[in-house]
Amino acid sequence: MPPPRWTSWSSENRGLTADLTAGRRLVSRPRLPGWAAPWLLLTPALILLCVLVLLPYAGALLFSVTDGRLITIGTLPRLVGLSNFEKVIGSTGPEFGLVVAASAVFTLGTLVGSLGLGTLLGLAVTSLRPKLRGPLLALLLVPWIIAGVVVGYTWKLVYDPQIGLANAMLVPLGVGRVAWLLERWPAIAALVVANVWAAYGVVLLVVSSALTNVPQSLILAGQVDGAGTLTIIRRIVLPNIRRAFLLAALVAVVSGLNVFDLIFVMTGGGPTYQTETLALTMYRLTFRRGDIGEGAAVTVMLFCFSLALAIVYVWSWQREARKWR
Amino acid sequence: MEVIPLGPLGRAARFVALAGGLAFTLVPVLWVASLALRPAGAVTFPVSLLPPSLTLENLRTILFTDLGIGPRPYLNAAFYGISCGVITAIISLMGGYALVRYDLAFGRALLLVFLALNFLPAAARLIPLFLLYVQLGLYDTQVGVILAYVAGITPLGIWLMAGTISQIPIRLEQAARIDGAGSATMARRILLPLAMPGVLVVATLAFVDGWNSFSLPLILMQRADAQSYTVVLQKYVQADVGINWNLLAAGSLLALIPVLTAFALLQRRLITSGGFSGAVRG
Repeated sequence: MPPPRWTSWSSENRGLTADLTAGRRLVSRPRLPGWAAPWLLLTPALILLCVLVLLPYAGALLFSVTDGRLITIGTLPRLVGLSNFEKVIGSTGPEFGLVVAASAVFTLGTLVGSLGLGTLLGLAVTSLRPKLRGPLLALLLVPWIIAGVVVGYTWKLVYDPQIGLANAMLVPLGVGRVAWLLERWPAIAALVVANVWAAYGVVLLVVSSALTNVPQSLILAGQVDGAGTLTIIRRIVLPNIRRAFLLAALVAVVSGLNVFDLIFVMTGGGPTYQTETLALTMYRLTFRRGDIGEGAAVTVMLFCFSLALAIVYVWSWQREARKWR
Repeated sequence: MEVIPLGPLGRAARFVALAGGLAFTLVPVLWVASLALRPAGAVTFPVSLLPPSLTLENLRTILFTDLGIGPRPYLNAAFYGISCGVITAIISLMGGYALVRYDLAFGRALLLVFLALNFLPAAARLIPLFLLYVQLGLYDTQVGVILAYVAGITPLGIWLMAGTISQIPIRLEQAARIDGAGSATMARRILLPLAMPGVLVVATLAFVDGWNSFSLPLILMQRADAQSYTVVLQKYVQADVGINWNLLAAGSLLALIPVLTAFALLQRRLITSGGFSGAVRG
């Protein structure tokens, strides 16, 4: 017997009642077998993700153990084992340790800065009347949607020794003109400030949406017990948004680690590699030096680190989700 | 949470924090505007904080003269951004619907994969993507650039759409079925109107992503006439601007206008969209 069409409602059609209670099968398309419809709907997304995301990631893994070069593109590269990783780690111009140190400081600076600023402003904004919250949040989120390149130029215009805003404000105070981007540590600090500016919006968004879900009764209970504002924030509010912190921290670390545009236009990794991070090393090795293998080795390092953080996050998300079921 | 109780000291601290935060956030943007909108002679050391007079000359130079960039990259970026927004919204709506409304064998695992993909660095796929595009003949094509954007933002899109659709009561769809609606009618009359806020959020985020993207078009697109605004701006600044700060500021200000407009139109939905507490792009 052919399956009944959904439009043919009749008293003998007992199948429909069963479907109604089952719920989900009702929304499948009538002339296709039920299992095919969702996969058809998912097809475009899955094809794109497999070909343009997963395959490239696999490709990076593969290229990292070959001697592929840009000039010999098209010919099959040879397998060279882990020698690319050895070469990257043992490189002397610039020393790998220098790059790792710059990456670590830049990423940690971004993490601390954006968590601190995002949480502080998140607390301040959520303690306001709801009417004021939306517009303020929108204004504070402006840098978050600005292109990395433009963030770079914006801060270049702030740090410029001649016409920069930073010196224009400092010089009248009697501080001499500072060349912010010409030495290693001032330049890295300047980059951190610029990146915190660009990235703290995510933290603010995550923290403030978590804060609105902290039960008011807990805060009232704290008040009744005589706790002051700071104690309430430290002992009740902040522990309640732990998971949001974890999410925000992971996002900040991954994005800090992979920042490319901003540093590329602000210092280009210079002066003489002093501000080069792993993301820039990857670009330099691949497209300036033409060494796909070594570039891919750096890529794999970045990727593995991010993947570990992603797994931590998904794991904690799932554990939390299970608790609520 | 409604209120954290604040004494007068707390209020003062809050005011300082908010004023400081707003200043830190907005002053750099205002500085760019201040440099971009003043006449060329007014950018010399020591530089004044406010523009002595206002002019649109710098913006005109960038967009419409041989000294600037020309309108083409701007239109290209708009085309990339809008295509990315539309395609991502459609694909994410379909995928999110399938994941929420059907009991798939690997549905939950798939959703977690999408969540994890948000955390993986876009930079890590650049090199193989470049090599793949050369092989597939997608290198230097507009379709290729758009597909690369879409693939990058779709995991976030599907995650957000799954959140939106799971909040639409399934009873509405069942009621439409009983009333004799086919899949197309049901999608158009019930699903789309109810999912629209979420669709708009995904489309806006994808538009901003497409407009802002720099490293993808830098590596996947060679042709000058199809290049995106951010890349052309960077090359222009490197090659021609030198220390013409007016033009650098004007070029940056122009890049801001479309994303700020899109954001202003949709900020309330973007902020209240519950999906953000679940997943945020890195």
